[in-house]
Amino acid sequence: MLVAHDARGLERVLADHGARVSSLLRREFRGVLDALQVDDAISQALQRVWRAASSFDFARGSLAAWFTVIARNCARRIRDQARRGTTESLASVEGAVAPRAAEAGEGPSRWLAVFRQCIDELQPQQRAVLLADLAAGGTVPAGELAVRLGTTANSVYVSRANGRKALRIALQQRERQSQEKHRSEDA
Amino acid sequence: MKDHGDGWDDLVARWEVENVADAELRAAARALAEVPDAVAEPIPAAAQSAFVAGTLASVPPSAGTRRTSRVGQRLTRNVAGLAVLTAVTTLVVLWGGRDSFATLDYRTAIMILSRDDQPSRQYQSAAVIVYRQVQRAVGALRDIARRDVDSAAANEAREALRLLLAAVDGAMPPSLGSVGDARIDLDAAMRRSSSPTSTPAQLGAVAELAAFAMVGVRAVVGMPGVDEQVRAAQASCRQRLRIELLR
Repeated sequence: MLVAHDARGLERVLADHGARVSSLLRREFRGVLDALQVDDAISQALQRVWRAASSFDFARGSLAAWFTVIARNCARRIRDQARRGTTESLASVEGAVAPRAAEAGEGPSRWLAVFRQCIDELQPQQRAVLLADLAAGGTVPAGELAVRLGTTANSVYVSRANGRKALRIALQQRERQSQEKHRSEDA
Repeated sequence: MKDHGDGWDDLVARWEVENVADAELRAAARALAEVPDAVAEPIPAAAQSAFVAGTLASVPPSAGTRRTSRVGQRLTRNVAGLAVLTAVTTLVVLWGGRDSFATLDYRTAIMILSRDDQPSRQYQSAAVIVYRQVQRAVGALRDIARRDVDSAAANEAREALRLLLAAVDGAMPPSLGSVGDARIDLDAAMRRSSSPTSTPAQLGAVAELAAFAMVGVRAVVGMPGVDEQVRAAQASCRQRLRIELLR
């Protein structure tokens, strides 16, 4: 149902796994996140599940496990943002976005590998902005990022817009190349 | 996480999903299995509905495939911004002497408008701040209402809750005079919402201040040209507020 973008799939996720995942987060983040923040983490995780349902590889793990990992990441981000009152440093962002799966000896998906390559090929400031956005799970306020990168908010806006555009084009090109390669192999 | 029309949020979500290592999935499965049944309290149906509504509101069904032109998006955002500003100005005029209300709503609107690249997200942030504020005040009101059911304070607290619910449901406009005549500013509201010595009238006024912000914006989002996502996010937040009042 989720893959078919049927809203009943969301209800099933909550009904089947919401209680356990929520309990797990409350236990893991006791004294750090309040009930509302745990709710926020569940809510953010649900949005990610909804957006990327077609990317789940159920051969690797259950939906419950996926949902848990995503919700935990969301909770960590909420915790970190509350603690710092700001965004993560670029160094920690680079670390967070580094290929964890590859380090663990588990090959990332092809899409993920291509995505990382395309990010790596961006201009430095564009890359820094997009990496920070990825680590924040969305978009980092331009003012905060400007201070961190030693630039202006306007420059961050421009880098973000151009970076996203360049990334989108690069991904589309890679996709086209991949399709052409498959076609030539089939032929 | 809002869709800003350029597909970025879909990329973030996909990155988040595919960047999970197998070891993390296995650990999560083990951790879940260790949660005792007795500890895992089911999420109430009303809360489930709010979660789902919030998700659907923040992610349009066509997310990932939508290709709205950037000019169109910017135009929509500007129209939405102008609509909010116009309505706020109207509210300032209409509410006249109640400048503390107008000031809060104006501040909220300014916060929404301060980020012209993502008004929906900023709107949601503002709504969350308002929601947290009202949650504190409503929690305190509920405590008073339950502490001594026959006391005048408890009756006043129950009346404040009833009026708030009606205001959130749109059955009546918020009216500070109905629960007290305290004139409060944002800082005072913050202090009073967490003060154990606040009276029901003060708490009711704090909560009503927040409800006003939500109900006030409801008129704004009914205007043509306002971002559909803003409309949906507002509906979701109002639903959460209603759940809080009924809890």
